[in-house]
Amino acid sequence: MAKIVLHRLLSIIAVLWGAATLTFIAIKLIPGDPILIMSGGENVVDEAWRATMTAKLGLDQPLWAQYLHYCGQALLGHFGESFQFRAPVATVITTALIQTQTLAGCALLLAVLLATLNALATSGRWWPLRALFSGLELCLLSTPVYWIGIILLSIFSFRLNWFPVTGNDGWVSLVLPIIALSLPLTAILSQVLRDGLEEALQQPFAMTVRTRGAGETLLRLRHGLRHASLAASTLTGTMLANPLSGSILTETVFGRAGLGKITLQAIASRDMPLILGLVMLSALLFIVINLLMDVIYLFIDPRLRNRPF
Amino acid sequence: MKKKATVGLLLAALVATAHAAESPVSGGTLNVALGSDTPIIDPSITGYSVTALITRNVVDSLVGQAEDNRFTPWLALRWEINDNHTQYTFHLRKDVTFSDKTRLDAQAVKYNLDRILDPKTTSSYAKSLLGPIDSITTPDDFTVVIHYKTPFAPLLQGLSLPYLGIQSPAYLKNTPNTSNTVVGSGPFILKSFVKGNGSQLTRRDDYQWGPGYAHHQGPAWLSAINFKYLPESSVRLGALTSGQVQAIDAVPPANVRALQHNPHVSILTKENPGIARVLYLNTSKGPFSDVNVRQAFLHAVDPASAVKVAFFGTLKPADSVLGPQTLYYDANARVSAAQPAKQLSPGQPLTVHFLYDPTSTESADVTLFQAIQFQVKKAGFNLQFDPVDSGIFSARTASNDYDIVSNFYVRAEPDILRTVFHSAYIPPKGANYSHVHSLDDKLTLAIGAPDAQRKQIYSDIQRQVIEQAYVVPLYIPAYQLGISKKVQGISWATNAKPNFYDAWLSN
Repeated sequence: MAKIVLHRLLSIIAVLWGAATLTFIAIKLIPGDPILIMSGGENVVDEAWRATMTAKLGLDQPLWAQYLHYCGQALLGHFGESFQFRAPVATVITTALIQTQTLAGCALLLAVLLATLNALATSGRWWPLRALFSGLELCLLSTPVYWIGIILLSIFSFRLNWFPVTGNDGWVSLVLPIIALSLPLTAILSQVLRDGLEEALQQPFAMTVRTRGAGETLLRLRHGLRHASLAASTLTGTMLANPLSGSILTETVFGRAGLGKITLQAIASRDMPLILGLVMLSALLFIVINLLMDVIYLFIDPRLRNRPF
Repeated sequence: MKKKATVGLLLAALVATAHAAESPVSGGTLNVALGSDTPIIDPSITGYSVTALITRNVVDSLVGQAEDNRFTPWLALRWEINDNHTQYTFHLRKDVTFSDKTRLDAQAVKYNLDRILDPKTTSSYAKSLLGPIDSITTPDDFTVVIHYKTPFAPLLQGLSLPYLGIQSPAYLKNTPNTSNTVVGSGPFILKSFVKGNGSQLTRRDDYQWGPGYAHHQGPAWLSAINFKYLPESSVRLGALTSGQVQAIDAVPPANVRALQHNPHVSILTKENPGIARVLYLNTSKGPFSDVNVRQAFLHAVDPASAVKVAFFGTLKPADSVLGPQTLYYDANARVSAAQPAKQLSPGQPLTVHFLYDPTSTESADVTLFQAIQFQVKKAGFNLQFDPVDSGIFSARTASNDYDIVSNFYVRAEPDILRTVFHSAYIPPKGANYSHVHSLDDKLTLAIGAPDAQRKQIYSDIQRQVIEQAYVVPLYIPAYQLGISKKVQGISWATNAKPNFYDAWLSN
């Protein structure tokens, strides 16, 4: 057991280190001087200012020294100060993450709920209903979330005045962004879940359950859903990481502060400490979520429990 | 004729009484949706215009500048300037306190200016507004003297901007990182600022030292202002027309007509002073090193029709390098008054590269550039668009790899011409994108010359810029504020930003 944990831990560090290194190389390869960008717009760069800034940001060091310094600090959990926000990277990211995680978490929860209900109700049932829903899912899946957001706003905020557009204040302002973000997720989850469920219902075990005299609902809830949710849970895992690292379109439409917009700004202004911090965060998220998924598999599928790692 | 005049007078009288009938009401919250955001709210360390718009309500300036460019008392009741612009003496009000209850005195002013000048503060724009200060002295508790070694005339205009607003020294000393907070002596207090979301301001009830250009004294009428960041323009519009916010900025040109017909909404427009939206022609290399080619290009562009197409008639085409609101703007330095260009000998089309950053360019501007691309094609120019991100933009301008770039600058003081035409500011050191060397003497002389001479020098410079075709003027940028008709009393700062001190909400 200790060996497994150690193995896992080492691979996590290796992945993080790899991500940091690749990002560092990529940022240094693309042209663009962060100091020029920072002074951009109305400012004039005087030499004294440039020298102070360069020294302050550590950009006067040779590349390898910057790299080593960065890796050393990152190991200790110090990500430095964002060039653009002039605040510690950890603070900038945490503030944005709090805004984003509520949105992403609720959206995913809603999507899973709706998708499950949808799959249970329509898979292998009356075909016109099934066709209607899967057509609807295709539409939602192909619609940009940006557009869904604007449509939701113009109906429920501008016309009916049910929800305010001036976001980030209270749960009322969360309703529309959550729906906008969750609809495409619902669509894709429903499709995968329904396929899985339909496949499960044709398996011999379904026949066995039916011959035992169990009702259709029990069959679906107790046996079919568990079988079908294996693929869907993998998908849910990746989807959880996605909105966390980039719900930029929803954030733009609803004017919410969040990780997506900060990431875009950081890259455009070559804000190296912040970019590296964000990459570390999303790499870590993917690792943690994958780990969680591995654990969840064990719960869903008893066959995996006896498999050696 | 006489009858018409009488009717006119009657109408005027009616309008006047209608206005007089509505006297300002105290109270209410103004919600403003903004299309852009700022990463830093401390005006002393950033050049973002949103910061200026928001903090204008939080910090006061030594002097105010009225819409007609005259300077009025504010924190300084009066001031003396010596003849050659090397010594400024300010006599401060004695009753001013910061919102943290500390007193605003000469030491506080000196502390603020010293902080901006200190390289450790890494102030860039605010520092450039102060010029080459030699020393700041405080002969008594309420007198501040600023000394220069070389004459510097633009100081008052710089001091009137929020970037040089006075913050509480007690707060500054106790706050290692000021990127999220501001404490000043202004009519409002910054309650919260969240990057990517907005700012909340509440009124200061003991405010008694409004600027000389204001229409009332005492506390502001509004009890609170909420600035909300809504980057998507259709959402901003919807928020305004549904009454969720009472004001929005950056009204999309395509929607201006529709808003004008909306009975609950009106549009206020303020033309920017400073450098108009221009194309800078790079005179240091390629086709534009030849003045004849530049003139041919300048005269091939027809801004009037291109601007009409791109902005639906909401903005005025520019005919000169400066906007008419700028101090010492010379209406005679126009493209249309200049000599027409010599015909270029026919031959291969000349390819010129136009470098721009699409993320910081409005879609209407791109339409405008496309119209110009079409116009100059007929004169034998192949205008090539190079859309790049801000990093590559700065890298390519630094390595002189472009023929054209475009921007505008908001500043009422003509010294802004130095930023774009002095050879000390050739990229990467600044924004002299045309690589002009010929104006250095005049620009330097104008910094500290007596007023009459400054006017003459700036006229010469404006004329020379057009004659030499260093730039192609396109349009006069403007700040467009869509507001609910309930909002009254908004005035304009000389950096073309709305002032909310006099604003109030009718019931």
